Amino acid sequence: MKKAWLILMMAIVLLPMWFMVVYSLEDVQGVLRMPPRLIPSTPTIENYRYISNWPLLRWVRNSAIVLVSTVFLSVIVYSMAGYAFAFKKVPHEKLIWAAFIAGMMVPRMSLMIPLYITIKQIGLAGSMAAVVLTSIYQPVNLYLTSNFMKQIPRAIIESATIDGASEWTILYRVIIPLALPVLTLIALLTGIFVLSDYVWQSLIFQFGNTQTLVVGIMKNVLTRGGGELNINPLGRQMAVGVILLFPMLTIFLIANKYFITGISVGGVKE
Amino acid sequence: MSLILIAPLAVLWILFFAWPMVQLVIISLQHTNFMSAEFVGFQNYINTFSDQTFWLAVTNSLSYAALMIPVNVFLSFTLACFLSRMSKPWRNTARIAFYIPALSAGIIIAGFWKWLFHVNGAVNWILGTNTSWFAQGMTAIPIIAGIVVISSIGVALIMVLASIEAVDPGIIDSARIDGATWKQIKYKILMPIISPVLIMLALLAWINAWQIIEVPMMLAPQDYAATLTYHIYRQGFLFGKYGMASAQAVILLIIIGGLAMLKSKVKQ
Repeated sequence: MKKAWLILMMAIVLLPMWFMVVYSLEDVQGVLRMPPRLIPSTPTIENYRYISNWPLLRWVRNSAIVLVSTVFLSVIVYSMAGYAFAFKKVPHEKLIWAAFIAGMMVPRMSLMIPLYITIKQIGLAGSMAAVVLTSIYQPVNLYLTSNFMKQIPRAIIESATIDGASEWTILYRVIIPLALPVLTLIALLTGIFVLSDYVWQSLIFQFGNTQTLVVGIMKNVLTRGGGELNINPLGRQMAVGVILLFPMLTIFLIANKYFITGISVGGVKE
Repeated sequence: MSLILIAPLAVLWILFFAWPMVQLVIISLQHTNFMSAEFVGFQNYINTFSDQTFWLAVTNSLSYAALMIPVNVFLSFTLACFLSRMSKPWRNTARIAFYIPALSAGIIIAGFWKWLFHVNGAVNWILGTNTSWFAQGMTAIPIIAGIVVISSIGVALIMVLASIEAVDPGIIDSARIDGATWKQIKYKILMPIISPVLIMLALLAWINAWQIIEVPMMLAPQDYAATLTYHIYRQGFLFGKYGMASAQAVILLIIIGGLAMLKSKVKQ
């Protein structure tokens, strides 16, 4: 009985995605034909064919570059900073920690205007580097990494020091392997974030030809662009949703084991 | 050494957080269009307070918060308690299943919600009505709040469940031996123990309520459903009123920071 309830609740939260897949395969008459169905009545790939006219490969490549750079740099930056806060004496530690964490209370979107100006000032407007650099600072990542690393026994690090290992060796050979669950977690969170951060990226790429997948796709589906009349906006928006969801779901399902331990251990302390 | 370790983060923090914060305050005191800027003192703030759409956005954000905070806390607590009595494979499956909506948050799933609440869509078909659900705040705001709760319930659930799992099982066992019902254990024992996590969830929902932007942008891009963040976005990037938008962003930071400050005071 309890299991039945649970299955029902899981079905409710997952059903939207299923419907999105089903109705992305409907033509313009089928989309709004009632009653709602769990399988497409007149399956067609017309919506996907329409999308395939866009320079998808270029956008995917751009998104992949942004994704890999952001995740890679985030893991380096936060394993270094997390190590410092968990094991080292940082001067004015409380103050610096508070300053770094303060960003949690600041909605990113409220900084969009000055952030955009900063990007222009350093000459990065319209570039992928702008997305990468502005996406790394996420206070929650520092919080999670440092909390997780505090659980690593100090003795391990001390014995490595006695054995003559340099700080970098300790970081690379001891800390990073032991903190792998939380580093996978922040890699995952950062990856999901950077793949779906439409509003900010659409500002960075508002002029010029460079686009990431999410920006290129959404701009085209919303402005009815792509050189062809958008006769089925609902079906096409759902097709677009399926395309955007796919990479994230893949990444998530691969890394979900680490995801749960990382968030449970790193997030609950205090 | 420790300074070298935090240096990369510090550089990013200065460039993309601290410096923009300073600039935000400066711009909020200007009339500017990026090309030329004129210092106008507190004029933007004064204009903001007489701007009706600003107050509408504030009221809307408060409505979102009022709907989201209790639902989010209650739902994740109930669900986590429910799951805490199930076997580990079930718990893990549930954690994954409830987190998946977070992957398709905002713009990705927007097409589905458009379809569901379309004038000729499923909800109207079931109810036998032909309401335009996103055409007025009265219906748009609760629906958008619900959509946001669904996509954020997974993280909340994982946090609450982890803290319940960390509770010493001896406490629950001894309460049970003393004849406590599950309901009593849930509300009289578990809830007080994990209340810090629940308070944190409430705070996160509070912050979140002010910055809902993608869902109204996709479904109801109008003043009546706009949060303050979305209002700021529209002021700045749609209407080019960067000074006004920045003044409102400063006000937003004060509002959000205010409650966070209050929370840490209460904690002490």
